[in-house]
Amino acid sequence: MSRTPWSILGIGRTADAAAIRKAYAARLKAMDVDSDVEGFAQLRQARDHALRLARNLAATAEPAQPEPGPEPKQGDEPEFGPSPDAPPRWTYAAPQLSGDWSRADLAARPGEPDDTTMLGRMAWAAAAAREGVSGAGIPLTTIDPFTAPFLPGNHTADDTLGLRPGETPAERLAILLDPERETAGEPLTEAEARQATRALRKILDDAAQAQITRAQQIEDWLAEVLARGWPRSAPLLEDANAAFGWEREWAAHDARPGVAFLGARLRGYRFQQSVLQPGHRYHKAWNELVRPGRASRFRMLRGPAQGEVDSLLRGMRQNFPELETHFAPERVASWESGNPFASGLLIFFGVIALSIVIALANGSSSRESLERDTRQAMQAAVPEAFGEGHDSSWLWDKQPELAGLLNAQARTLLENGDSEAAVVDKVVEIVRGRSFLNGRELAGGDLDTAMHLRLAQLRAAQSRSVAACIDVRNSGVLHGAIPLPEHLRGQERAFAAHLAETGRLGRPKGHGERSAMVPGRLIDQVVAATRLSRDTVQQAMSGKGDDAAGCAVTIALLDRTLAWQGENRREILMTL
Amino acid sequence: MLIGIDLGTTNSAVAIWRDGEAVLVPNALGDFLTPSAVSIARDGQAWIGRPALDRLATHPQDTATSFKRLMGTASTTRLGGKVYKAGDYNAEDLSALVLGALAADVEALTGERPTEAVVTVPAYFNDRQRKATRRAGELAGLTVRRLINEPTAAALAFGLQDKGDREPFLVFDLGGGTFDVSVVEMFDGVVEVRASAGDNRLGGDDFDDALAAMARPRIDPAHRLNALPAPQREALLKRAAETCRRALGTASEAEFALVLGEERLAAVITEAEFESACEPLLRRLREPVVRALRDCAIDASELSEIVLVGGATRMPVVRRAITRLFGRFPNASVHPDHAVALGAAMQAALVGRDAALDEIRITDVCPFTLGVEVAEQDGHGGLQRGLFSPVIERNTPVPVSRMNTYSTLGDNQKTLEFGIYQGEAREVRGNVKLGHIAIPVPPRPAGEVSAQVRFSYDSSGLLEIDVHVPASGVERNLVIVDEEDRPGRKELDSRRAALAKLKFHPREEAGNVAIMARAERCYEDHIGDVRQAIGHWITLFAGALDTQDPRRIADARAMLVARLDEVEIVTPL
Repeated sequence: MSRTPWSILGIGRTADAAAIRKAYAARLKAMDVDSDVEGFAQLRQARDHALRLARNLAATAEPAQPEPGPEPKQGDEPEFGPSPDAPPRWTYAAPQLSGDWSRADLAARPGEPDDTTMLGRMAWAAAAAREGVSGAGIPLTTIDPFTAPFLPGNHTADDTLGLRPGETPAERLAILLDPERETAGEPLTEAEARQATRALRKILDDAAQAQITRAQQIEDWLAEVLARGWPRSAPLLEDANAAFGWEREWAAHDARPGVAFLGARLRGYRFQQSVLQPGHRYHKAWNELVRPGRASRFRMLRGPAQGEVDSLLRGMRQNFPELETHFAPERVASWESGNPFASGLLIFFGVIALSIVIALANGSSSRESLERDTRQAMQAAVPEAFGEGHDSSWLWDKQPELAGLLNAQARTLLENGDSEAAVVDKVVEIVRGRSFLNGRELAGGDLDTAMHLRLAQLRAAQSRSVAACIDVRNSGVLHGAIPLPEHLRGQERAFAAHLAETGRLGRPKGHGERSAMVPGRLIDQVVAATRLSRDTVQQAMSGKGDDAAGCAVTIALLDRTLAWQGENRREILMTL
Repeated sequence: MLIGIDLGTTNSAVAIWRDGEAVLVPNALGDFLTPSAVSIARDGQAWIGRPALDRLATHPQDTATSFKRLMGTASTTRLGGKVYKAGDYNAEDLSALVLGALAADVEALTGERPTEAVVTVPAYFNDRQRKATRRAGELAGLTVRRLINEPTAAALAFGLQDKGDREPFLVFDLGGGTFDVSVVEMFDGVVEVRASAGDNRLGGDDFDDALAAMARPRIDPAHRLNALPAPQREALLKRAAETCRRALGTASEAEFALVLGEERLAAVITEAEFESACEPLLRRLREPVVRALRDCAIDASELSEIVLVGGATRMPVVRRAITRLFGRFPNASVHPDHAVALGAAMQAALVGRDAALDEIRITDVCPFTLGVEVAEQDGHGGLQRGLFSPVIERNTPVPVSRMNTYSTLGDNQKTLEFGIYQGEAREVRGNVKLGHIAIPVPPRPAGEVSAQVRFSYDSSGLLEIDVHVPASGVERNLVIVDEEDRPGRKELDSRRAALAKLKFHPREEAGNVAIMARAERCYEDHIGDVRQAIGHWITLFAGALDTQDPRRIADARAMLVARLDEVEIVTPL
């Protein structure tokens, strides 16, 4: 069945690109593409595949050591397998994780009889925009922000930029927006904003005059720096957007992740700017929600109308979820718990208040019961995720952001008619995802625990299906409904509680594509454990090949690496 | 006979394949380019091409230009009298008249009326615009055997000059109304389009508009032009802008001038001013280039040539922008106005399997993404509708056939509905809707029933969709062709009949008609003594026409041409 590109092209294995093209041309002329669409697609694929193989062949045929490099390391090269033409070490391509906690939940939902859904993956950018992740979580191209692709002239004379001697505007901007910077949690100061704007203008001028390749590099670099630097980069977005026309791209289904991310943020930023104007429809509601503390019981007398707060929250969560971080969670919660007068206080307000309450009652009673159910579900879910002895108020105390997220998830599920059990599953899933994503960045025993749990999850998923296993590998999360042995659940809970206790269950920091060198000895172990061929293992490690092998190799590699005490242990674990 | 036609925004051209090479066919005036202009008088008398363009100045209400920009839209232009439907012509009708004139030119040259054609369209024309072009061909009595992308046609003309191998090159096609970029490679007789991108709302016309917008407040601070009817005002500004833009091609400054009544309004525009007015347009040239290169993963530095096509690439401002963009000088070796028509004739020979091109194959790409509308659950449990799920990604080689699987979202859902869209937006409302297909499904819990949707896209841009539900075995098929959305054969016939009622000048009178239109335009363009003189010459020429003596007419015409040439060179307008 499986024909090689060479047999389709009708030539022998070769590194000669011209011969491949010639063979392709000859086959193409012999066929009628319009009546043999499949054949044409096959031929095209075979040609492209053969050209890729030819490039690799050519690369390995040539000794790739034109100049003397550092002394070759001793020891680990020779122990690698016998095949002479295989590269001495393989790079394991880590699957890209989709940011924070979970992918879109494609569970069935009643009441929408005439829609279709795609069996597949949602665009990352779209999901990210809705989940409100920080820019640091974006899987970009891992350009080092400090190695700008351009070094425009010598700007030392320009004091207005605040450049240090020898510093370029690009470097200045990268430093100002560096997410690792101490002040990264605060907006740019006025002086910083001035510097950043001037540096940006210089960079944009440079891009406008540059040739296409360089202009593209500048654009890619800038998109990355601005995305990573979000939200500090907010005041700079409009200028960059105007210069590169990102607005046209970000609505595209295949927009680059950085651009899509910035597009979604810029829309939110514009909304925020306008809502801060006193004339805005939701100005009052916004001001109310940003004040810390609980809402006043007498808010009905002054303050915004419940309807305004509701529609602001609804609209914002739908369109700019990241803006919710501006609100005081407690105040939001008290507004969402409904009308305070529906309880005991109404008698003090006599008939007028009563009539208002009746008008509101229908809306608020369902909201109230929803809040009650949410609280109840959370009471069941938190011990399930963190172990007995932990409750919602403990979580609000230790990790308020996570508590808010879980609460919102629970409410949404219940609102859609899901059961309490579904809420528990979801909460377990989110906590599990965060434990893994955060734990993986740690060192020592915590890293080991996180990866041991990950291994257990992958195995549990594998025993269900290959697809589930791949799903866990790619998303970083085992669905709450797939059972894990009870002793592992206990470990999982203890680990999550331990992380939460020390405040390490926050939004995971994202990272770009990761890779690590896998030593030959370790690969031998994986080959032995999986009983797959060396080629299959190699393919699986570089992210190719079929899913079953990919799953088995991931599990074996994780298992073996945990037992391994040699070099690169941590690096390899971090890619898994 | 199969001919190749370049149906352009500003100019059109026709070429045929003869004795193993593509040859351009001259029109009745001996020109290879026929302006895409149509003028229709109240009595149904019609002018096409050069005389129609001249009549734009004298009869703006009766004359239409740049109608290709309205292709595929419902917009109509009201011209002349009530020939049919109150004189409203859409872009297809007007294009059909131009195509008909080109076909007549071929008949005059070869003695044979062509019945089939290969017509070029901008690569970035969407499905609707392509269908409209096809219909225009049919209205003109031509079966459109194939629509070929303009940059692909230009690449054929460029590449087949020597039939040698070529590393990837980029065709930069900036026409009167559309902008296309294609990356093309040639090896062993295969012309392979790697990627195309474009902007079907950017062209030379926009540069004229930018120039007019800049110059207008200077020549007319008192807003006196506002008093004119819109068509006349637009025609005046357009002509002035075009003349000024052409002059700026060779000089560092030029006059922007027009005649309003008995007065001449004018201002001097420098090249630098023009360039800064065009800045936003020049910036828009960058994006399609970037997209095409990115789609085929070729770096700008790997391109062997930047081949210029389209009249607007003659503008020095555009050339400078291109040079800056690529860091080198573009290749201007093909005739920017002829290459597309010649390429169309080559494609016609390929379709007709001409022996001379037996060893040549061409493969193109589908420049748009094609897909269906879906709804998805989002992370907060809400339902997001109106999302676009691509089935065939843009810049996939054609012909191509791809399948995706979609499943139900509701329990006991009875049907699956698929809106078919073309475009790049993540939400379908940003894309062009091509059709709709529904298929019944057996009632099951949500997500348990799935349908396989197959898109097949052939070399002519014909899209066919098959939907199959494995659970029930039901199949549906939708062919997105002209018949689907077209007003029906009957109406097409009646429109063709109405167009046939128009009166055309006999071919042998074409020269006289054209010079008369030109003289009348010159009369409008000038004031004072010159105008009086032109009026006098027109009377003399009309007198010669009345004698019906071919010799006297020929003499009078030659004299009138000489005098008008003199007038138009001496004065800036």
